[in-house]
Amino acid sequence: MAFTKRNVAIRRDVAPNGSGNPASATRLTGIRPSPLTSHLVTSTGTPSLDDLLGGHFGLALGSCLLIEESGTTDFAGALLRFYAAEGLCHGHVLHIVGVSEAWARELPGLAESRSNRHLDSTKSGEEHMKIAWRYQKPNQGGEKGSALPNHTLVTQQTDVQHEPFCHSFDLTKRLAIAADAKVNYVRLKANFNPLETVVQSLQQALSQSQPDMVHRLVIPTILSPGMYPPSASQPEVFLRTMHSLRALLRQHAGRLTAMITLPLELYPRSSGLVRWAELLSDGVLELTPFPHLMDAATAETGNTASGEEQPQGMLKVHKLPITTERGEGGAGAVNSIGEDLSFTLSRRKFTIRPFSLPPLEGDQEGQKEAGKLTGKDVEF
Amino acid sequence: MTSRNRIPHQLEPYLRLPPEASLIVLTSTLGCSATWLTARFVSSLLDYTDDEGGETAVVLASWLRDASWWKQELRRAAGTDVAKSVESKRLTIVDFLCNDNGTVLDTIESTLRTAITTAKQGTRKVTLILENPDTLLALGQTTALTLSQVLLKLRTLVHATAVVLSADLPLLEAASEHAEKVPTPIEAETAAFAVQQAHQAGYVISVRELDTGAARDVSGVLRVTMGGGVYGAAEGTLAGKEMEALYLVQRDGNVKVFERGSATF
Repeated sequence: MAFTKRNVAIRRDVAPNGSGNPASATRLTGIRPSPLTSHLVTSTGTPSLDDLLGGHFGLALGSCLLIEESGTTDFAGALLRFYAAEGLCHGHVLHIVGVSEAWARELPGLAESRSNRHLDSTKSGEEHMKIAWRYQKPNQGGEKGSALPNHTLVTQQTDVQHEPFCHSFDLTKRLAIAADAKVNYVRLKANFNPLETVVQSLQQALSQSQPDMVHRLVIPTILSPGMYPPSASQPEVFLRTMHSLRALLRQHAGRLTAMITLPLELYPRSSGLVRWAELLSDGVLELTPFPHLMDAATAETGNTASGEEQPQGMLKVHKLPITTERGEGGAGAVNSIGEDLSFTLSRRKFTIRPFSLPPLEGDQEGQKEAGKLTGKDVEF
Repeated sequence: MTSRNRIPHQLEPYLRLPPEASLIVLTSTLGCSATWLTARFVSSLLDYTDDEGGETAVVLASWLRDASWWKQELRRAAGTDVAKSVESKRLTIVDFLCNDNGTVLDTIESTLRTAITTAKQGTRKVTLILENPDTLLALGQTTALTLSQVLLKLRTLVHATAVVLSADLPLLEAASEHAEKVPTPIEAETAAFAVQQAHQAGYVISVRELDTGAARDVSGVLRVTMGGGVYGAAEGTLAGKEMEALYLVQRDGNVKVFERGSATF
């Protein structure tokens, strides 16, 4: 069909000088066409998460990602911070719900400027490390003085034409938020419906901003009793907000994405409430961190020297934007639904790779070989 | 490519124009969406011509997907000529997702009544397809009882009706006698509505994930069972038999349906 053929033609390497490309695709930063469909995608700030999203290599504009996490850890929060920081690097408007300015002040800073990760994905892990070190040194020297050099680095980069699609961040650094950065803090209302303001405020911001400005909505730990009153988990409040948000994402499909994290401890996946929230989202990921004991055991083996961190938990993909809605289920070459994936959060990145059980303790030879096998990043 | 050969031959009997006054229930789960099936149902209905040259029409109302998404998907997946069908009013897409009043039951009923009258144009056989009206239950807008009453009223206006519902375990568990916990209102209402509709349905077509986990060459399991409504209908009016098969929705929108254990390629 003509529709499919046209999609194939729009590829990233053709995009800058391609004539048939929509103007918005070239004018905006941090946006590129998906290699599979005509959708425009933006980076989540985590390269291996971008790779997981059904072969689109990014989060499609107009979609919402729900990240669930069991236990009391906040790995999902790291993904959320990368997503927010990535948005700031591209000059996108950021809407942060329910938390104070302090949350945004703790966003991870840029680690190094590396062009599109996919271009050098063929290089080995060791080379990655070398590049990282080379770029990191001047950067670190600058940070000792003040936060200013880090800030100039950000602004310089946004001026450069070939802005990387996905930046690398360092959790130990802090992203200096430029004075003209567009960050909108959405306060929760202290009444029965604390989420009432979210959709309203978003709607207002979207109508007031330029039509080609990209917005990112960030909702950390939704329904968490630390921030939300019990009434927030009423279907009329929570699911209604999710439904209105879905409508808003569709109405502004070319310029809005959302990422929401949900702690599963109080609201398990087996409840109707959470299942409806999942049905109303476009993508659903579930993080299951390993118990702390396993963490300690792996630290003893000291495997970090080889650049390979042990997995800190399992990651499941339950639903993918675009792909699931079309009914593809778990089928297809680049589909990650139903796969056993593990995640590792290190200082500089959140890595997702296929999970494989480590070899038996004491089996030194086997352990070395396993390192090579699990060392592979998720490849598509 | 015509829409006819986009419909797998195994499914053709189920996607034909259903008998008068019948109800078909399609169910989906979180990972297995039934949109590809709905799109093919719409295209099959629009292709239908009877011996006397009577026309058919479809009113598709959705609470989870917007009109432009459906137009694109109908064209992409099922090869429907959307522009032509919409212009001749044979296809009406009612968008209750982006509509501000899309969750108010009274407005919904009157909007659908108008849409059906317009689509009917005197003699056309209108099929009403409601995608996820159970969203209204999730939003705490209404009860299963009121919703089925409205649905019954609407069914009297059209030739046949199809309802797409979410049938994930948490949404159905309340109807099981082995339920271990006290269901929340939302779980009880969705389960009640799904069971009510299945009892009235001529047949139920459900898609779900593979029990053994995801596979590269299988999108999910498709199962067709007779609903409770078949007992009231005259014998032989329903074309198909019960079946269960695997299906694969490919990236280009093509669908293959095959038996368990048989090779796809």
